[in-house]
Amino acid sequence: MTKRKNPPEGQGNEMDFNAMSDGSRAKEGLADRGVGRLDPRVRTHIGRKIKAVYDEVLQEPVPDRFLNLLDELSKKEREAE
Amino acid sequence: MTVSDNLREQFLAVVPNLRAFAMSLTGRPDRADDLVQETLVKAWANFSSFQEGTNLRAWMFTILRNQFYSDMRKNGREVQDVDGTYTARLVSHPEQQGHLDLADFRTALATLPADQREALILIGASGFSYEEAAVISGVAIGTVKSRVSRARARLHEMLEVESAGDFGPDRMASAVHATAAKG
Repeated sequence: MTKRKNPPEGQGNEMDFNAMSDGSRAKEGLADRGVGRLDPRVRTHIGRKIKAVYDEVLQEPVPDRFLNLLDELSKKEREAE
Repeated sequence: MTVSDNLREQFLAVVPNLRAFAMSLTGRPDRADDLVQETLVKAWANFSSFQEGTNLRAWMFTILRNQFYSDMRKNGREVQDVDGTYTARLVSHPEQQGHLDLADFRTALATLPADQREALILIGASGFSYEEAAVISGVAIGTVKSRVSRARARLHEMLEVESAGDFGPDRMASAVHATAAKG
């Protein structure tokens, strides 16, 4: 039941942020320990909980500090234009 | 609407996602919001390097993620959690058998190595494709896949107390239905 928004690899990568990559490649190459075979129903169960934890924050209203910050940034931008 | 008003709206729409991602990286609300703040300022200043037509959310996640690790290095903090500390505590609570609530699950998530947690959140909660997650984390797609599956396996181990009785081959389906019904 995996949802994929995009077609599988090989479709070209329109985003190229590699300039910002920071060396996490160093940790690559570790062999997968053959743990990718979880029962899909266990995966669903875990997935539902991850989403619940994440959505708790996602559903909070945007704090004022960010509204103010964005106001300030766009104000500065307008003045510079 | 001016260009800057438009940009403001676009950025604002991503803020809830940035906060949720930052929270899962830092585990602390104050640090999460500081990180979001830094990200917004940086993204605004560097918006000219954003390619129109690509995914703004992914671009901002990349900035936030890189900012997180760079702050970590600057402050000399350990990036990864110490393995097993919370795990031991979690599984030794007999009263938690049969059910781990969200707070406990959050703690379990926090014990994952940072790279695994990051991959799992990007794929399992933020709704990015493996391709997008790979770009955000600056690694190969296969690396994201293996991190996600290791993260799931580890969580499964931690939740074994819960699942041992519920997820036997025969009772699996009914347990899942019961969970779904609970909400």
